[in-house]
Amino acid sequence: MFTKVLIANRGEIAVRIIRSLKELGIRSVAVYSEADRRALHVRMADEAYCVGPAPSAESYLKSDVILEIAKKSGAQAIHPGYGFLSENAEFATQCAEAGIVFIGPPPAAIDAMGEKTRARQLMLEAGVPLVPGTQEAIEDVAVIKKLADEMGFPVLVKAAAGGGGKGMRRVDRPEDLEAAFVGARREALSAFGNGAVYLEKYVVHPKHVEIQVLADTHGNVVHLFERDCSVQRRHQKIIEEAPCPVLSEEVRQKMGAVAVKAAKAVGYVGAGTLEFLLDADQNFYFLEMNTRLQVEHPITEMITGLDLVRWQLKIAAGERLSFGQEDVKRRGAAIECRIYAEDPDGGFMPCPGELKYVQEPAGPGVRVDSGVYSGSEVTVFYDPMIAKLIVWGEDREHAIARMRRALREYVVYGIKTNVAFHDEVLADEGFVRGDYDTEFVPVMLAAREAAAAEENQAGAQEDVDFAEIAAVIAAHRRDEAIALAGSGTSASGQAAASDGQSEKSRWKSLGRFRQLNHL
Amino acid sequence: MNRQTSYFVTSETGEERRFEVETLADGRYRVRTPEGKVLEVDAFSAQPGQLHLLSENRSLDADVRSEGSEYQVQISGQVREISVLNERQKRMQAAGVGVKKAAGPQLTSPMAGKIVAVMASAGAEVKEGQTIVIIEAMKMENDIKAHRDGVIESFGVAEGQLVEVGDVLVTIED
Repeated sequence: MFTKVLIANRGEIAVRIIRSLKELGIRSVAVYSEADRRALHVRMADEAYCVGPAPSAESYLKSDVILEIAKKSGAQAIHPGYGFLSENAEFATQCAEAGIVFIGPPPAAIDAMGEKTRARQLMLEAGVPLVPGTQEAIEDVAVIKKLADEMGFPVLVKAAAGGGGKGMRRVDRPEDLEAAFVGARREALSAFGNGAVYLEKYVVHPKHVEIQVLADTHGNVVHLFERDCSVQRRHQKIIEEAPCPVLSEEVRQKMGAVAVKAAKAVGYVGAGTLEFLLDADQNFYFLEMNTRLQVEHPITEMITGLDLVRWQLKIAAGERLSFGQEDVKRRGAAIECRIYAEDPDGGFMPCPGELKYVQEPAGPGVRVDSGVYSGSEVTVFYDPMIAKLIVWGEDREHAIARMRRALREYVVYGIKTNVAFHDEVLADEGFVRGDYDTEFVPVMLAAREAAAAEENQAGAQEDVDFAEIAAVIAAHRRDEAIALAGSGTSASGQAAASDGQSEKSRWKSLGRFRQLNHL
Repeated sequence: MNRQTSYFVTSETGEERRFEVETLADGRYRVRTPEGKVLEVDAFSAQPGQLHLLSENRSLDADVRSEGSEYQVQISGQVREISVLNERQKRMQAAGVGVKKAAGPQLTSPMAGKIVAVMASAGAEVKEGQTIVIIEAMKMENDIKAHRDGVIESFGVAEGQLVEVGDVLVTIED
C-alpha cells in the first residue's frame, strides 16, 4: 500500500479522501489555490502546497505543477476526486510516465468513455441499449437543424466533453435551437476547453438511474446496485437516493449485469458509474459512463457498508477485490441532499460570501461530508456545493423522516443555502411516492410559486410567530446590555461585581469576540 | 429594567407590527404580541448567535444573528429575515435617517462573477424580465433580467469583465 498520496482536488471531496487516507495510515498531501489557503482540506492534510491563483485553470487544472508537487513531496499516487483532472486521460498518462499511480481507470478507458460520441459507438458494439442520437460532434447550425427535424422535438443539445449539467440544453421548439447550440458551445468551451456538441432525442418522463461498479486490475468486476438521481434542477443533481424506489428487482439485476459488461468492454479499473435513463415501462438506455468517483457515492456506501475511496486506493495499489458479486448485499435506504450556496427564493442565484457560522446535523444514521467551517469563505471561483448531507434509514420512509430531522438541525449563517428547500422537496407528495422523474423539480417549483401566492392572499399565520419573538427578545437583550454599559458604573472595574456589572463585562467581551471573529 | 419597551417588527409581509417587551424580576421576559396575546418567555444564549426560548414549556432552539436592526432567525431549519426597530430607531427612521431610496433606473449585479454575454445594446427598448446580461458565477451561467420596462441608457459592464455584488450592470430609463 502507498505511504503518501496527493489529492488533486478541493472542498468536501478532498476532505472525504483525506479521511480514508488517515484510516489507512497513509499521509496526505493537499494542493490549494491562493483563494483556498484557509480551506478545510488544507487544514486537515499532513502537507499542503499552493498551486497558483484562484481560477481553476491556473491552479487545480495545472497538471504539470501538480505532478511536480507529487514528485517533490514523495507521493506515490494521486487521487483526482471528481471534476478537475479526474477524467483527463492525458493527465493519467503523464502520471504513469512520471512513475506515479493515478487513482482511477487506465487512460484508454477514460478516453473510450470520455468522448461521449466514442462511448456511444463502443456501447452500441457491446450491445448496451442507447437513446437515439448523433454519434459525431456537430459543428454547424444547419446540420443540427436538419438532424433535430428528423429526430423530432424535444431534443437535447449536449457538450461532448460535458458533465454535471454544464453545456447541456433541452430544446422544445425549432426556433430555439440556434440559441441553445451557440450557448452550449460557449459554455462547453469555457468549462472544458472543448466546444464540440452533439444532439440526442429527449426521452420524456425519464428517471436518471445509475449503477456503481468496482473493478480491480485482475479482471474482477462487481456492481454495487443503483442510485436514483432524478431530483435535478437544470440537469444539476440535488437529491439522490438508493435504492431507486420504483426499480423492479428483475430490471435491477439486468442493469447491473449490463453495467459490468460495459465496464469489461473498456477494460475498466477502479470505481466508475454507468448512467442510464429509465422510462416509465422500465426500459433503460445508456447515457454515459463517469470514469471517476461520483459526488453521490456515499449513499452506495451507506447501503452496502463499503468504503469506495478505500477500495479505490486498494485497487490502485494492485489488491484484489476480496468479495464477489454474490457477497455484495444491500440494506435499508439512503438519501443524499447536496447543500448549495444558493438562494432558492431568489431564482437559485449562487450566494458566495463568508460563511459566518455553521452547525452541522448529527445523531443516528447521519453523515455530513463538508468542505467548510464557521468563518470560512465560499468563493465565486468554484462549484457552489459546500457540503453533502447523507442519511441511512431502515427503509425509505425512515430515511426520509431522518433526513427531514437532520435538515432541521442544520444551521448556516452568512450565506443563503438550499437547506430549507430540501425539506420542502422531501415533504412533496411526488417525492414521497417515489415515481418522480427528472422533470420533478421544475414542476414542483411552478406549483410552489402558485402555493406561495395563495398563502400570501389567505394570510395563513400561526397564532404566535416565534421567529419574530426571538428577534424581539434578542433586540431587547441587546438594548438592555447597552443601557447597562452606559449607566456610569464602569469605574469600579474589578470590584465586587453586582449582577449588572457581570452582565456588562460579559457583553463587552462578547463584543470583542465578535470583532475578532467578524461575526 | 422593569419598564415596558416597544419594538417595531417588519418581516416578509412588509406590514409593521408592534411588540411590547418587559424584563421580569426573575430575568424572564413578558412579551405582548400585536394580536394582544401575552407570553412569558424564558430565554438564554448558549453561545453568541444562539437563543433558546422556553414559553409555556414549549422549547425552541433559535439561531439569531443580527446586523444593525436586521435579524436572521432560524428555527427548525426555517430561515426568516426580520427587521426590528426599537423606539429610538423608529423615531430616526420617521425622521428619514438611513431610509433606502426606491428602485431607480440602475440594475445592479446580485452576485460576483464574470460577464460572459451582453444580450442587448445601448438605446434598445427592453421589457421587464428580458435577459440583459449573462453572468457566470460558480461555473453556472445566470441570466440577469431587466428590472423594468424602458430604454437602455448605458451599460456599466462589458463582456469578459469581472463584477462584484452591487456593481451597476445597466441603466434603463423610462
